[in-house]
Amino acid sequence: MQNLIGIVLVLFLLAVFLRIDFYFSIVYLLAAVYLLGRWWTHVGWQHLTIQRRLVNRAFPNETIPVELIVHNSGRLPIPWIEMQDSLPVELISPPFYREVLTLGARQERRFTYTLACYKRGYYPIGPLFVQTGDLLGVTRPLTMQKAPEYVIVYPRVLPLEKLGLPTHSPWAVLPAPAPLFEDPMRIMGVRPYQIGDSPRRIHWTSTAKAGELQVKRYQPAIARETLICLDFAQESYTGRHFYEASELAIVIAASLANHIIVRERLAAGLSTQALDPLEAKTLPFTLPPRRERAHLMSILEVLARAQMTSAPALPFPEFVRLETARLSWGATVVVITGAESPSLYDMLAYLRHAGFALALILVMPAAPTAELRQAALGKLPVYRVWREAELEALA
Amino acid sequence: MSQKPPHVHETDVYLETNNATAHSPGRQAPAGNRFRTLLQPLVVGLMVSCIALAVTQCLQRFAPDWNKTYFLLIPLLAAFMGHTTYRVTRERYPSEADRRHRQIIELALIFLLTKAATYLNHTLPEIWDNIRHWPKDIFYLFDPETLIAFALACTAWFAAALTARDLDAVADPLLYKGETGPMERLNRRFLTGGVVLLFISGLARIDIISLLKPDRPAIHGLALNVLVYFVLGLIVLGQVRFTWLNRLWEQQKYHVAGVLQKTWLRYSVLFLLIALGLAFVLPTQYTVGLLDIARWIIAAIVYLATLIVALITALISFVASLFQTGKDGAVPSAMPSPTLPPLLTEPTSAGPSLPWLNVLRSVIFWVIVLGAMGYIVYSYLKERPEILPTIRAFKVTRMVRGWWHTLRTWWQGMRHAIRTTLPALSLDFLRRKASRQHTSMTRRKGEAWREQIFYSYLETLDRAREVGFPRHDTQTPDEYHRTLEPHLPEAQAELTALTAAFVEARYSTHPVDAHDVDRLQINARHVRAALDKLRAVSRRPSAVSDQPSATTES
Repeated sequence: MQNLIGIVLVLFLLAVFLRIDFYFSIVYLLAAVYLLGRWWTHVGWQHLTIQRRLVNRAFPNETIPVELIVHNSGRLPIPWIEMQDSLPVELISPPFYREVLTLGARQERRFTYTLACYKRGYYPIGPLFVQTGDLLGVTRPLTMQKAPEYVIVYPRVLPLEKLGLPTHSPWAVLPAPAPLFEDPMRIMGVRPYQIGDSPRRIHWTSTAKAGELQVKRYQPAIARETLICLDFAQESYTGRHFYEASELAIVIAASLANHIIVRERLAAGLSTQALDPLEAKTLPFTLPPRRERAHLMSILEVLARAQMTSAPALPFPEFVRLETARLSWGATVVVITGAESPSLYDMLAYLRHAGFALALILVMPAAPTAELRQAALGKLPVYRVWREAELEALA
Repeated sequence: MSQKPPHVHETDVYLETNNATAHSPGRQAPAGNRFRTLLQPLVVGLMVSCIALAVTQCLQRFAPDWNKTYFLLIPLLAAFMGHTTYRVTRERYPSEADRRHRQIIELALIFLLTKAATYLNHTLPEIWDNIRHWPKDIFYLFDPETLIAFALACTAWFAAALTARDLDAVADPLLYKGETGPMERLNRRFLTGGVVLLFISGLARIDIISLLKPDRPAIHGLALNVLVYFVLGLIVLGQVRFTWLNRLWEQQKYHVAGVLQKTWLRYSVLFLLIALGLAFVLPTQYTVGLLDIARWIIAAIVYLATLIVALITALISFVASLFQTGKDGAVPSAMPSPTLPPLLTEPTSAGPSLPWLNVLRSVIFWVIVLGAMGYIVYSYLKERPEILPTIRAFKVTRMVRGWWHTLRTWWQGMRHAIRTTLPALSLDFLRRKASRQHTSMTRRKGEAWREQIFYSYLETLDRAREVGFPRHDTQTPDEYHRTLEPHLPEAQAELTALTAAFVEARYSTHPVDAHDVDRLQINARHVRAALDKLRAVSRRPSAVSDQPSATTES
């Protein structure tokens, strides 16, 4: 009723000019309708709170119940509230939750819907759009947008205990649980602190001098850590099944990390370049090898939210070369990629000469080329995986 | 055999199903349909009757012998017919031409009904006589009374049919036609009808000739039909808004709470009752017009300004008369002071007694009315900031803004002149003074005892400085105590107590009371007496050689 104000003003002038009392009554009535409607809407709006409750992490095939709590803390009822929660189509269909309700004074209502997590990813739940207004439409509706929350669905993790690899297999490392790979008595130097470093390793003198946290680097006796280098560039996964191939690469990385940390109780890390939906840009993800369960969850979170990038900052071989520079001698490097190339073999040869144990996992439909077979003959463990079933068969 | 595209087929199926469901025998009409078929035409008819009643009252002034009843009943009937038959013809006659024929027949029927109604007060011979004259003189058939009643009925019929169309369009988007939405059309029709109703009701009560007389009396009393029209209209608009929103929610697959329809109606009625209560409680009568009050305010400002000028002139002339003497030594007479205008003009109050009460009531009335209007405009502009640039572009607005800017510039210049020429009287000076007074009063109130301790201690230090023992800036109270103590052997205990009391008052936060102050002042007096004694001794010539100079030592 946009003309109401104009009509009220005209009536007011008419009332003043004609000096008729009941004109003023009508002016008051219309003015009260407008002002009371506006006041009611605003007061109700101020006392309206909406809360979303959910567990924001899940494994594939799990469900997440989401609870929306709408509460009116005021003494006035809210005549109508329209709310719409935008949801990812991968988790629910239809991809929204829409509700229209009315709330009495100091009333609370709860609504529940369920998200089905079938596919790994980093999903925004929301934003939640809320709208309310007056009964007659004399004022503009008030709208609010509640910021989205995010749900992480971890990638699938497949068991590898039946892998049947030879003893010199890159990830079948020494079974002894003792930390033989680092000698804390022999400090090689210091390096900047990274997430996951034990506070015991902090070198306080260097930290004070440098102004930032520095940790000690011990001379390794023998390395028992594994770094999983995942190639997640779009150009490496071409062809019709590039989506399935890239997802399979994620599953392989997650399964390996799980196997090494949970089953073998050894340290595993992850290095990849991927599109981060949080930052909306391509970032290098580097998680140095650690063996804590929490570290495994960090690796899975990165793998959950990583998306394929079309513009990595560095070519994959160069990236792996840089990432392994900080690894201890004798560490294992597992390279997962969707394409073979001469530069990849050059990089692998370089790593081998540098004293690392290596493994190459190719996620591709075709058999490895002769050149690759040549490399394989050089006792480089090479595995080709194309279907999840094959991975399970490998395991 | 041509195949229909899938979506066409689906639409046909939908329509067939819909029609079949709508016309199936034995189907019970839900509550919403009952409202649509019975209540809606009735409410619309009532609203139209409210307008018709106002028209009848207005016509009564010009043609008192016309029949009032059928002027009221015919539009009601026409509105009911128009609302109902619009839907019936739309459903039964899909062809536009068929619908037009039916409408013409309907209008002819309304005319006949109107004509028949004009004969209600006549006897049969009179009616027959009138009918016999139809072929000879057409004005026997189309007499002014019939024509005006028919025009009124046609307007009611047409408005009701349009309202039915828009109400249906609100509920069913397939019937939506035109650029303006049905909601907006309904709102506009309601408000236009309201303005027309108010205008006609006003005309029915006011003498047009006296419109231009400024001192004509106000018209009291309530027009019930106007009130009914607005209340019914607002309730209907509330329900229409719900229907509109509900349809949108259904389209967008919202899950709508089942109780919403009931609560909507309940809240609408409650809301309107409160608004109605407010409208009745607020004052509607005034005796002093807005222009009179404005004239009073301007007169008061002019009076005050003249008074100030008169006082200043009198003061200047008095001072000038002190310094100027005539050639023969006679003192010239002071400058003539300006004459003051009368304080206030006679109010045009109609109240017989207590005119100030009438004025007060009028002032309250205008404050409420103008406040409400101002707040409405303010709220509206705040809600729609996109309107502001348009308003600013108006010539009148620019002119008013220019005046306001000039006034502000003048006022700022005035303030500047006052500050530079009369600094002692400037507002800032007064404000600073007031601030200083306020601060000192607060401190005196809050920390009086503590400050008295400081004062006594500092007074003692002053005395010691005069004697020759000044305290250096770098000395703490204890260090200074150690410096002074050897020179006051008879007041060592008092000096120690004085220093300790000062340190406690200066560096602690616990409260200090009058007892502490008294004790400290006794000690301070002892110390000052010892210092005076020391000064007296040092001034004697014999003592100079005996005692080392305090200044040298310090």
